[in-house]
Amino acid sequence: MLDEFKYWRLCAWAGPAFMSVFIVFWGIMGFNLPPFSGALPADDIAAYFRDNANTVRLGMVIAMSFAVLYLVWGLAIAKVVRKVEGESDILSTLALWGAGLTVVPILVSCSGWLAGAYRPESLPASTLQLLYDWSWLLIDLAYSVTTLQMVALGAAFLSDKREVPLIPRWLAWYGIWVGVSFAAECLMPFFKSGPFERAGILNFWIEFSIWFVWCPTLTFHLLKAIRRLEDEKLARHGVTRDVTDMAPQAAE
Amino acid sequence: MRTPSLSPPMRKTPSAAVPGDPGIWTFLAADVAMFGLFFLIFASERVQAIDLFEQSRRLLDPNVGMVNTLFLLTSSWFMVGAAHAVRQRQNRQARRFVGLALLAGLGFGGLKLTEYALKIGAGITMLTNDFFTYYFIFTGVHFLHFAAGMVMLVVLFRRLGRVREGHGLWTDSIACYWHMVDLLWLMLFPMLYLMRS
Repeated sequence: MLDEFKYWRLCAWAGPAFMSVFIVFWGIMGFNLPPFSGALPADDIAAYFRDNANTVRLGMVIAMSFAVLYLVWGLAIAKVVRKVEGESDILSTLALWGAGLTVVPILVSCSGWLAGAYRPESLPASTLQLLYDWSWLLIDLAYSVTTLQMVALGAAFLSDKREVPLIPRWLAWYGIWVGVSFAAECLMPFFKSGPFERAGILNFWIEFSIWFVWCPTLTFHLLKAIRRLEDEKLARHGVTRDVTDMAPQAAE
Repeated sequence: MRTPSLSPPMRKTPSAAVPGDPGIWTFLAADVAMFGLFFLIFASERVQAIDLFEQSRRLLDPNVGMVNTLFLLTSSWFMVGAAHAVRQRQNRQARRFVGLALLAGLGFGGLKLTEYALKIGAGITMLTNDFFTYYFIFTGVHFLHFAAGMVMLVVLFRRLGRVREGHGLWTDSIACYWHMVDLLWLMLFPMLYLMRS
């Protein structure tokens, strides 16, 4: 097998790795899955920070350390997009920037929760509530950078002229739909209860679930696409997969 | 036994089974499911505050909703005409149909915006009460779908004017999307304007 694709594959696995870390450390240890309702009194938020300070600290430290994996995953996708879009590289560039910029609000909002957990005993309840609110407002309302990535790669995969596209068209459409539906987060700052608040059925459960379905599904098809690209490259060099050990490392 | 000559039409089967790009049906299905969820949320909130929802509903004019339903259905009907014309390679005819679909769409858009303006002018907004939260958000999300569809119709109108052939998939896909926009409205209209306690 060609070395080049080894790293593509490694980068593709960064997506599920990011998602797992995010669920466990940001979600479960950070008490963000689901978030506290916007209607929860400041004293309850303060009690959460004070009672669970070390759990939240550890959760956020790990979440921040691994947030960059989203960019790494975004690069694997962008490389495959590049193979689809031919000479132009605009969509793969947009998709990569979208993925890279997604890391920023994740890092900054995690630092907000971490700041709340740093010395919660000496901060007033309203300040702790502000940190919690602010972190959630940021992570939700920064949706547009991720939407940019999802729409750009969706548009690229839809323009795939192959008989059997590298990424199925339904998945490209699904990603575009998820990305566009993130715009529902615009409603979140106006509500403290009901389906549109940060912990509501639409703005949390639906919006996060549809993304959590998209990420591993895309990774699965991405790995298949990488294998196809590898096979195509091997074929161009007149080598079959069985004898690749004897083949020289091809450079293109 | 499969013969090589049969395989190309066999591969085409999925796209022949549904009109438009088969992949776009994922988008449409996800969207319809989302509006189905809207309906469930509305119904479950409504039973907890029937009086409030009924009083608020009476502030909406069902005639406006009905005229808007007709605008959207008419527009969709013109799109069926456009799709048929494209299949028969009559692009000029198709273009006329798309133009008429756009006009009917403008009727919907104009009336809906007027309705929003009158409500907001009367001091009724998304934050007035639960009923109007759902009214503004659900019809607002629908309006964004409508606006995106209008942009697609304008693009299609221009493309049909330029090249002679090869717009079948485009026209069918846009027509499917446009049908979904009126299907969603057919869910919203009775839910918001007509459903009595």
